[in-house]
Amino acid sequence: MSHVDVTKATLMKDLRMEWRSKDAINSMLFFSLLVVVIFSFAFNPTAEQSRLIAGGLIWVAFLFAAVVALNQTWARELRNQVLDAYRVSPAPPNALLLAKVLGNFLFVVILEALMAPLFVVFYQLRSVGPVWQLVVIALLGTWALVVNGTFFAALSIRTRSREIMLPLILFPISIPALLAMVDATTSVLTGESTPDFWIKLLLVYDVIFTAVCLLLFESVLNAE
Amino acid sequence: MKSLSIAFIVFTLALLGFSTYQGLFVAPTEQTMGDVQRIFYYHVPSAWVAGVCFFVNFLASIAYLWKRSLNADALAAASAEVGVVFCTIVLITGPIWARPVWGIWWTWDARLTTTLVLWLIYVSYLMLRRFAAGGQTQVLAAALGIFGFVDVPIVYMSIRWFRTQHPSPVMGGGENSGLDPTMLHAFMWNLLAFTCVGIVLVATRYRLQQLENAVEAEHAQLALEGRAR
Amino acid sequence: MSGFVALRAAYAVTWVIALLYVRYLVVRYRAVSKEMKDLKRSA
Repeated sequence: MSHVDVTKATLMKDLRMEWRSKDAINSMLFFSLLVVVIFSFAFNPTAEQSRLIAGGLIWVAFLFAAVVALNQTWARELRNQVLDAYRVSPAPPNALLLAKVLGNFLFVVILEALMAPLFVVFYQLRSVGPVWQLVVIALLGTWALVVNGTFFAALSIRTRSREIMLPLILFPISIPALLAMVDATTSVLTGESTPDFWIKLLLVYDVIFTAVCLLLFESVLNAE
Repeated sequence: MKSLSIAFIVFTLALLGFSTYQGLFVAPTEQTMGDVQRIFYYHVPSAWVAGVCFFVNFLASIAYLWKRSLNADALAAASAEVGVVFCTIVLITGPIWARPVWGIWWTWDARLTTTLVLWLIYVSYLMLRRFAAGGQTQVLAAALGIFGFVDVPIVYMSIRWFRTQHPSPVMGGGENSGLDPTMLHAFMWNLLAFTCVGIVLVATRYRLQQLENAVEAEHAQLALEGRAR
Repeated sequence: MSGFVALRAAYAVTWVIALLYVRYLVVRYRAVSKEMKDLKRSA
């Protein structure tokens, strides 16, 4: 089977499984909703203020929700000893990783698309800058979180306190990407500056870390 | 070998004593900040040592993934730990310096924030080493070590840009900005001394790791022979 | 916090952290040596 075939097959399998149980997306959705509501109790901003803080809030909410999804990713594989089957099969490990990343990426992007109107409503959000830029930032930023997150979710499979290890390892590495996402989102919402540099940084981050993940994954998978 | 190590340790301590004396008494007092500026002679060399340690960790991590050598992993563990120690020193001396000069402990200025993120990344590395189970600790840690170091320039760039967008006071003046020659002198001595201290600590920690690996190998051997305690 | 106090504090903190780390290494060293000796004795 070719690289692409394996990736596609794994991805379709994951999507099908998720569609049947809707585990991940339901928990992510509910979690994000909770975060939005609780934050709005804490802040109660005016339209002007909300444009300033929304960038940070939105990404914090998405970050936590993504971690919930990521923890699920490998847990399912582990339960059914699927990883061992992958190691034994001739399927290229990168295809497996790519499929997982794409699956998670799709889940989180769908989540973001569902949450966005909620944020607009709760915070009376109206963007001064062009909305398409927000979409680009969201896509690039989500990829940054998901590619490293999927890789590290694999890393933290066999550690003790697995659930807490994933964010512990993921967050520090992701700080530049998070900074970019938040500041870019804020600059578009307030219209006070252009997010160009941030978008370029996110692109660089995505390219570099996707490459590193793909390069190192085989070593990690075979660690025993 | 052992007497060489002891000689080097003694040399390092003497060097450190000398460089500290240089920094505290021989170097001239800075115009604007006064004597507080002398913290610079400990603060910056610590940052330098931390950076070198993390780079060594990067190389050792790659070496481990390539050769699967336990010694490479031992060096990775040692350099990360010592790096975090020096990074901690930077993060504590920085605010102590800032307080009398700016009246605040922390400003999210570019260099200090980058150091904080670096500290976070390598502390997470140390936690992974502690909490990972069994045989794959080394591989996982090596992967994280590579990720962490690759991230460093990106972290630096992102925080620099953030600070250009949202300016705030810069700690410690510019890097070597118009350093008086005697100041540069004292700085270099401290840089050398701290590097030697770094070498001593990493070497010691490395040896310790090797011993612990040997003990574990002994245990495994005994278990194999059916004589495990 | 005056400049004078800050200077002493910064230098002191550096030494304290370094020495604490050395102490940590020594403690771990002792534990490993002891364990190695016990193992050698039983072997």
